[in-house]
Amino acid sequence: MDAAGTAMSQATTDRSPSSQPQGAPRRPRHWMRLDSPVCWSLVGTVALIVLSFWSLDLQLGRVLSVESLGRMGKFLGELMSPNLEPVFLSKLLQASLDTLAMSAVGTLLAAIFGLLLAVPASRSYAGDPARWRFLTRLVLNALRAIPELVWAALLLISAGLGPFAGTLALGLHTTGVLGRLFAESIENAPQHAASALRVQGIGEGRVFLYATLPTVSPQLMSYSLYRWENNIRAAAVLGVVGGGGLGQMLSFHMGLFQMQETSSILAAMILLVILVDTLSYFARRLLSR
Amino acid sequence: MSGLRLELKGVCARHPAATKESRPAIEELSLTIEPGEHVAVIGPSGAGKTTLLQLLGAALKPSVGHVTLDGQSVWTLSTRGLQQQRGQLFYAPQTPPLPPRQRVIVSLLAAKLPALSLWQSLKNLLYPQHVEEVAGALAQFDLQEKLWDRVDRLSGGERQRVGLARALLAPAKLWLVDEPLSALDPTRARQAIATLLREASARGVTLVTTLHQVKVATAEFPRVLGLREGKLVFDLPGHAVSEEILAKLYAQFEYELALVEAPVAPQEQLPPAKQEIRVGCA
Amino acid sequence: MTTGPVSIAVIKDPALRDPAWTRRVFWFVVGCVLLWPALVSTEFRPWVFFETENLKVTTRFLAEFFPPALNPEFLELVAREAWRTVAIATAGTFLALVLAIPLTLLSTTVLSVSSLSGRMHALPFVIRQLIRWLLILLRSVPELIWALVFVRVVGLGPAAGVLAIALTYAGMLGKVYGEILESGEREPATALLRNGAGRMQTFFFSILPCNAKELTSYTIYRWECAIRASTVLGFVGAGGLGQQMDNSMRMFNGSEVATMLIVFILLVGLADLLSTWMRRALQ
Repeated sequence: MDAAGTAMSQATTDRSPSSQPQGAPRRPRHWMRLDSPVCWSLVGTVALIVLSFWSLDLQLGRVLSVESLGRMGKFLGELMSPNLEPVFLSKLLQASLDTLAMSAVGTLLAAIFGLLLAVPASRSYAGDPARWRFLTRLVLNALRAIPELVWAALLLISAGLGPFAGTLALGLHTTGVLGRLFAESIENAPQHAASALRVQGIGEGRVFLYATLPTVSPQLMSYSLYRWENNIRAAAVLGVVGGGGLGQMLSFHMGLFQMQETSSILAAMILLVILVDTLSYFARRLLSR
Repeated sequence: MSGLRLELKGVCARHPAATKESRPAIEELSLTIEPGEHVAVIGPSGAGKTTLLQLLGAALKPSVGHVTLDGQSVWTLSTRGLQQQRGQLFYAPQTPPLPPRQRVIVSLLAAKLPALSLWQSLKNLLYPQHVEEVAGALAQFDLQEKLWDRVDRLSGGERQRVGLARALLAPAKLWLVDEPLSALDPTRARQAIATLLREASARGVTLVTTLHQVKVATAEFPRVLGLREGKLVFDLPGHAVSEEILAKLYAQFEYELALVEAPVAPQEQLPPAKQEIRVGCA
Repeated sequence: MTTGPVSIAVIKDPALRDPAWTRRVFWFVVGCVLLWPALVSTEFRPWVFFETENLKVTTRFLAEFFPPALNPEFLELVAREAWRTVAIATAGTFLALVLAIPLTLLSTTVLSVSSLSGRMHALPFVIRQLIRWLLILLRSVPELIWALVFVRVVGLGPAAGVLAIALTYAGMLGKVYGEILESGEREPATALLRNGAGRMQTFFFSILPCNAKELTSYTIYRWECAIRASTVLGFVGAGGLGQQMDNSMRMFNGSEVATMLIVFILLVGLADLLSTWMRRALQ
């Protein structure tokens, strides 16, 4: 239903009957009325956009000027000739494997701890008191509100440079994300099998293991695999703040203006992302068979 | 194993989601079932047959009245006491309560959980024990080849039989079975009801089952209860239920009576797992 | 058909062994074999946190979190930077939208005229595929990398962040817009095309009204993600709250970091509420 349709459905007449010829259809209200929420949202959005551009003083004119575009063109040109020496390529391969490992271990940790937190964070059945729900949800929301990079920057202080801080940062943030998704899955799961076991007086723990978890596990694994696709991008990037892997190599070589190495690293990143996306897709297909 | 003695005294019950103005699902019901009895409950749709089973199984608290299992008033027990009492019963809902991707053997072993310790339960998840017992139970329903299959690979009728086979594994003294034959063809239905009755007798458990197939109910069950609109209309031996009594019970619902075999109940399709695309900001 | 006592043959059947067991053990071993080098290469050593040096630094840093820095000048700075973060996100998402709309229109099969009479012709097909690959390319490079590149080219400051978000999000918006259009109703659009309407006419009269709700809903969701992203981009010099957080962390100033974390969480929460309200108002 478009905006006009919305206005029509909200229509109440504002014209007195005497001003209308008898039997003619009432004129629908224009959507630009002052009290339509669509109108206000639109006005607000436009105002926000205009304010943003104005306050940032982006000088897009300068950025998109001929000189600037020329520099960007030169930069891109330098990126077109990657460094393909075997020594460098082997280092690149090692860094790619490190990044892959970071994303995989981080996602695995998050799936495990996310599930552990999702159980107290969900209401297993309609009357469940779920005493820990509020607190656990708070923890999960805090974990997921802070981006992976910020977690990495914080953890670097305690754990030092290297991929460990990056892995943990991914793990912490993703625990928040997966934990909340898992909790929602558990709450929305069909209760059929679980109620039958509860009627037999079986405790909640075993009801979870024998009924709820088998029901939701395909969905949980699907979420985890989807999240891996996101995490490989994040892992590639965390190295920039000192988290090892491809990101660290990129930051290093770009800092030295070594454009050939940079272009190889960028190509490796893109290939790695595409690889993980494909693996995740096929794994999800396999699981849903 | 011997059966449980059941008593209902002046029980009224409503569905949890029912409005205040609607008629209660069960009204003013009093009934005693002796240990080891086989009872069939018949009646038209909406009579409250499933609600009665839920009351007997301590799955629904009555708004008025008492429910007594083996001399214990069920709803005055402590939570632990109630859980222990529940361990003695087995409830088979009309739609088999089987997680789709679970294997048949694990679904059957789940019925045995009240008799297993925590450690044994966990071991069973990893590597199923009691395989012979499970195979035997499945063989009673002619499903022994399906032992290791996934539940969602079975047909509707096979799933229903698996749901019934769970009764043979449960350490229960009371079997409450809701519409055991709704998805079964006549031959299988005869086998299934014969197996249920035979095993119930062998173990001495009390069996209460709701049935749409009134011919089966009156022929096979020594005691038949007739429910209509939440009230107990009659409580007679099977052979004493005449055509007139049935006609009165099913007045305005004659089409249900006319079908010798009940219509196949619509299998509840568990909703497919929704793929939420937005799992992150990437 | 056994209706009598269970036959002995069933019990002696070798099919009573769990067929899935070998397969499960195999995959478990494979998992362990893959996990070990992964743990090694990520330098997975949790005990590092408890080394005396690290423990000292950590406790000192964490102790500074309470109380968070609340002096007026700093709060004013934080408020300004928070607005900048929102501004970068909004500007970036807007530019992404401006880029994504033509790319989507060029790559969607819903507007294909040649496929009205059977199969799509070769040239339009190739063009559509190329645009799709362009969108994939834009999407595959993380926005932080773009930001690094732009910081080199246009200098430090919000412009780098805006451009980085614009390019990456153009790829994401383009992909999801494409999916929304492909999975929506085609018949009204096809009908208009068959009757000779132009492609842009079809877009405005049929495709846009039919899919406007879903498209807007996803765009608002992306804007919310952009706020998070622009904070992250600040860590490489793209301005906003992230850059301030980076400064304070380098100086180990725990109380300032604490304030900014709280403000960031509140900001994200606010954006989440706003986004949910708007999306619900659209329904």
